Amino acid sequence: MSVGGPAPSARAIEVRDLDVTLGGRAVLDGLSLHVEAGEFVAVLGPSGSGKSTTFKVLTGALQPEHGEVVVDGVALDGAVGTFAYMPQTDALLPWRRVLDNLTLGLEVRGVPRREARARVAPLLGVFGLAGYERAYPFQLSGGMRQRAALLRTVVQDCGALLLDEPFGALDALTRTQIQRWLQSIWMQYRWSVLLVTHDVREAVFLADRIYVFSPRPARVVACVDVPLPRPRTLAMLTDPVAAGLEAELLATLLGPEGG
Amino acid sequence: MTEQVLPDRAAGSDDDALPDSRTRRWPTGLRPSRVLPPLVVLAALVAAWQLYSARGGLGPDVLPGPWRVASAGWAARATLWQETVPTVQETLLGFSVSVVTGFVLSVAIDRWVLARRSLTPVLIVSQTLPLTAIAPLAVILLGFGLVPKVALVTLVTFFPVTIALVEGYASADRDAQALLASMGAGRWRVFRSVRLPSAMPFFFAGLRIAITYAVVAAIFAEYAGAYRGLGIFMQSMVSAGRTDLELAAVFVSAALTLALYGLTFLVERVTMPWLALQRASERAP
Repeated sequence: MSVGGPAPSARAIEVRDLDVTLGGRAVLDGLSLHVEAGEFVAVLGPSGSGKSTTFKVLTGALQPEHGEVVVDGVALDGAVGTFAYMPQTDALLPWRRVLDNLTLGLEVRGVPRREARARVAPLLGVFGLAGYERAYPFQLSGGMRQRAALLRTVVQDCGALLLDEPFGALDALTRTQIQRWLQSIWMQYRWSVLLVTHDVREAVFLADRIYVFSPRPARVVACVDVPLPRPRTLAMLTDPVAAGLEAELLATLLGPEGG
Repeated sequence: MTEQVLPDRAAGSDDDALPDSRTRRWPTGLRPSRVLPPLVVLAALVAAWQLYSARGGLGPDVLPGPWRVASAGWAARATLWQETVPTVQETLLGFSVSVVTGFVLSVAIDRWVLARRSLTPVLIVSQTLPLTAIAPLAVILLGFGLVPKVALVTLVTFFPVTIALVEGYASADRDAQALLASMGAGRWRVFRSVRLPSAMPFFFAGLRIAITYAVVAAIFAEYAGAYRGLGIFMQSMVSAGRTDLELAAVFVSAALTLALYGLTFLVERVTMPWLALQRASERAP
């Protein structure tokens, strides 16, 4: 498997100096970050530090008081639907069969059902869902549900994927499996990805670059490159470079020890 | 990987996903383990009643035994059928109006805070009106025909339907709604694709509560004044001293309610095949 160029649809995102106040409390305070086209960027931060709020601004659900989101040099201006969002739960609709869940994003965007299905079809095998098109979501395992949710996100062919703690609900083993799998398909397709996570190891394993947010109100307190070659293996996580990086990130998140 | 066995695509039918043959042969509601206990209880009650009336009881004119009720009812089956048809019509028509009304109200309440604040108290007050006072009034205002019956059935049944729908909308998954919004879905689209389907199990629960009131409401409306129907039939049988036929009509109305109640399960199953499958798989070991 080789690392090719970015996906044709991949966009560069630049978030500039966002201020968001919710209910009188500052949630984001001059937050800036960027994602290059085809880059995998992770965001780490303590609970309630405004990671999800950042996503709300990017999906257009929330207007910032100050700052802007720029996509390939053009201001987003609160436009909706520029990015493909994957929420914390898989949010598969239980009354829709798997195939109809997968085409949901395209349907909402006005793609005719037949064409939507045709676009989903070639990805079914890649996402390990072939043969399950007519199943209902409750008939899938946790890992399959998450892959289905990711397929639903990816097939929208948007400028970037916004993944909001997508694997938090999975057991450790399934989680590791799906992280490895995600790396392999990302290397194949090279979407722009912004991944929010609590899991330092997940960020190190998957991301090209990692931002660390401060507690509320969120600012970027660190931005580090992950110098590991791809494809990354679990064994690499124990080598000194990765282990050191993990320790450094944890220290940044938790503050000085004993303090 | 511990993926479940899934329905064969070629077979297509939903029932293929049911895990064991026992659930496949008997629809959930008709399995012997479900049907037998209530039948046994019912049979015991009827037997006790028969024994009581056979030993004198209250006298055949006050409380005839079940055998006498059944044979009188069977002998008068043509008349009973004739009287049942208008009651069924009133019930079903009133019920349909009720579902439409409940839907419209629930959408308004869900959509506009002002509607919620202004309508909710009025709806609750509407449920405190005593039927004994409203039914004669409905006859005076709307005549002896179908309209006052439909109005009364609607009045009695729209409330559980409305409340069930409103609660159902509120139960919709937040992430799913945020997801739809991120895809550029407008408010109406989110409602149609997430909030409304989420409310369907609630809707059927409300429907089942409503349907148990519906037949009684129709009969009560007839009692207050009608040309035909089980209600007016019961009234005239009591006046004529035919308690056996009155009780036969009572059993017909009970059977009617049970049948309509059962029908809601059938409709639920047809409109939400996934839910029946999911429940079946949760019951399976």
